[in-house]
Amino acid sequence: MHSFFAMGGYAAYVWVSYAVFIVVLAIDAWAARAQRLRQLAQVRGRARRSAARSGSTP
Amino acid sequence: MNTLTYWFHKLGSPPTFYRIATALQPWCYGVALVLGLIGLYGGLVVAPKDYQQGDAYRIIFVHVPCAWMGLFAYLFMAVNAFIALVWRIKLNEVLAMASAPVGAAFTFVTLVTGSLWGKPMWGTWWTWDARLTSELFLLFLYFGVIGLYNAIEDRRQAARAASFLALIGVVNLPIVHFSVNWWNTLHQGSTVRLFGPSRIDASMLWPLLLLAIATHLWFFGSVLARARGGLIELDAGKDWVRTLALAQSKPTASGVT
Repeated sequence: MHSFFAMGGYAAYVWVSYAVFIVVLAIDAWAARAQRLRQLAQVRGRARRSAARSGSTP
Repeated sequence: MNTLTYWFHKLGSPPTFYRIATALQPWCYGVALVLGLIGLYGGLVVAPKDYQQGDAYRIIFVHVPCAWMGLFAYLFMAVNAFIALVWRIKLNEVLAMASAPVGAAFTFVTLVTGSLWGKPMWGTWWTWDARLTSELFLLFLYFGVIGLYNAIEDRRQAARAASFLALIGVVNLPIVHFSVNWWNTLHQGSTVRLFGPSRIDASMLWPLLLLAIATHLWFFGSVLARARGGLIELDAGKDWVRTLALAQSKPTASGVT
């Protein structure tokens, strides 16, 4: 088990590579989701404001 | 209108595409995650160590699929950009712009992992050789497309301007791909070949191919996710978007999807 984590002396290079791969792709998926939720929230806000202007609350 | 054109038009309509994307996206992410984990296990544990490079070669299991995806994403973006510019199809504008951030992410990982492999193997983090320089240029092209898209107020004009830049950047794709043949570079040539036998042992090839499939699926999951956001932004005033937005506000504060 120890030798597995040591990666033949290249542990720092190998593990950092895999970590960058996983972290960057995870951020990508999170950012895509956050962008969609932000757009939806904006649409909701606009709908609420226009409803308030016309006098009826949804 | 025959059946084929009917479905073509139907698919191109934002509400229909949004529905299909919503259904497909979790499958893309899910299968990518499963295949990716099996591939990582294969690459880190099952595959034997290289007789020359020891365990450092294991970096290729993330480096090579990401490098392929950097090029694939650009190609996908350019094809959609072309359709968007010629036929002015809204969906293709959205798809082209959705693939830029994912492509940039993959290219960034390629550069970082390549650097991490280069230090122990070549003795340097970076060198200005043809493959490395053209790959860096690919990342800057992605940044250019994303930057231009965000710099223009009108979304459709922005998408068309950025699509145009994306199309110009296509000249860089063959340069990246063939740079190892055209110039005398430090970077090694292709090991895995589509035509003819690959110069890699089967025990190292299967994790690599599995991760290649996984990254493709992840790319499509991410593109669909961003395309959904893009369609909402573009169709913000339309009824289908308002219905969607208000339907999701019903379960208050529970924060589902």
